[in-house]
Amino acid sequence: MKKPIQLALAAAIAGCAISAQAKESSVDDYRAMLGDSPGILWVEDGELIWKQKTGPKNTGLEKCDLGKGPGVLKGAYAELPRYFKDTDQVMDLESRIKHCMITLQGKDASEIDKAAFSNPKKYIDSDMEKIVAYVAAQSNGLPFNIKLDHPKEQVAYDAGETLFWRRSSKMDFSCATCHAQDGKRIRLQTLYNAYNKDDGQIIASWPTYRVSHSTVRTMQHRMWDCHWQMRLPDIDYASDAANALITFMTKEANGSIIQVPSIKR
Amino acid sequence: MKKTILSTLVMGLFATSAFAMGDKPQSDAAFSDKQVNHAQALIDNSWTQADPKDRKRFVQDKTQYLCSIYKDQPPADIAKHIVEMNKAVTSYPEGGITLGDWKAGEKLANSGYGLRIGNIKADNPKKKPNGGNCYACHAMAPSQAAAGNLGPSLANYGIRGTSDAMLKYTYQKIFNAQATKACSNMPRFGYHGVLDDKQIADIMAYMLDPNSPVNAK
Repeated sequence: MKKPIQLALAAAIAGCAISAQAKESSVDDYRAMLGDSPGILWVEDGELIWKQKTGPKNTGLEKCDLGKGPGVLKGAYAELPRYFKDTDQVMDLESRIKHCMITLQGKDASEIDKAAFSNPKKYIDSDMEKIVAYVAAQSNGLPFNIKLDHPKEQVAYDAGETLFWRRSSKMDFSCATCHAQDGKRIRLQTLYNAYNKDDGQIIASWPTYRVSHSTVRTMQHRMWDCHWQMRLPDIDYASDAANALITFMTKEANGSIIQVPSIKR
Repeated sequence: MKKTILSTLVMGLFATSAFAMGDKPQSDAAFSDKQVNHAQALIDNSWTQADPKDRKRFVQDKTQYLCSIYKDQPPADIAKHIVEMNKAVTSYPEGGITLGDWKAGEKLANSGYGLRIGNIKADNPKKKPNGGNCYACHAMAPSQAAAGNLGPSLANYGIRGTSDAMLKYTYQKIFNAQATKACSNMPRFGYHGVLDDKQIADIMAYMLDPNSPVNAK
């Protein structure tokens, strides 16, 4: 697996140096490479886990309502985060799956949180990463379409943008320090600009298989990772702050076509 | 030095809400008081598992608060106020500004270690000192290709020489970048105690010493 990735990357880098035309074809190569994400294995496992009878109530998640009615998966991710009447909350995909695990399967909230992120180095697996990959992939080919129709959705968006610009801690960082300008990099890692519509494609490529993590990572994990890098404490899994940030970023990515799980560094 | 620590502490004691309610210069701020207070409520309910000591890192000083509500683009009078506040908390080494060891500075420029906290993957200060992580954002030695571009290129920074003015400017940028530019993206390394005076002297040597790879022809 490793070698084709390196070759494709080398081709992409060489392509940039040669000409605009070569650059075009290298972008195609790169996109073709994204089609070969090992994340598909997580999608396949996720489908089995979704249907598996488990938890104190010994049921599957087939009746989970992700916003388009119980059991409707196609297109559900394209409209998340959204407001849910039953919880009176704006919830992202992971918060809603967690909610279904609690209400349908009788699972314990803190146990779900603890198991949300895998740790491949310690052989700690995560059902959540697999379920998220499976459910999100059922929206592949569809554009993100966050409407902000409900007042609480607009409130979440506004809070998300406020948090996005909020500087704190020992490095004075906010999300915007790295993610509000075009063409910026940390070392060689390109940085997405939340306000650039073209960069919405980056949001639409999560969940993603992260080569450096040897697993599929979700958007909630990305929220943890960025706060860790900003020298802030671990953000609670599926918390209001994480959901607000995800609401802001996903709304800004409206129209971007979902293609998951992609593959990233 | 003592004075700086004291001022840092005093500034740190102000809670965000104190700025949101009193001291109101933000008529054209990007975010309303209501939005700022709601964001604060989310911070209060979304880090429940964190150590209360670690949660103090969310408490903003006045500079962080003002830059946040203006999306890092404060109007001229507030920008001036931010620069003045940060000048006031910039202290200089007792024996004057000197250059340290550029090889030690090179290591610091390459290291992003330090101050990451939490239960998943915290940095251990006993294991390794804090880095300056200059290469994350700046090109420096022309031979080092893996350099970021959030900040300006510092390649051949040393051709400007080592006059007192250059030493002071460079020290100030590292100690407290907002003493020269309000809402600069650059962390205030000295002000926050991320780097000590010896480390700053080493990084300055890496930037200014004629033998440093940063100044390779």
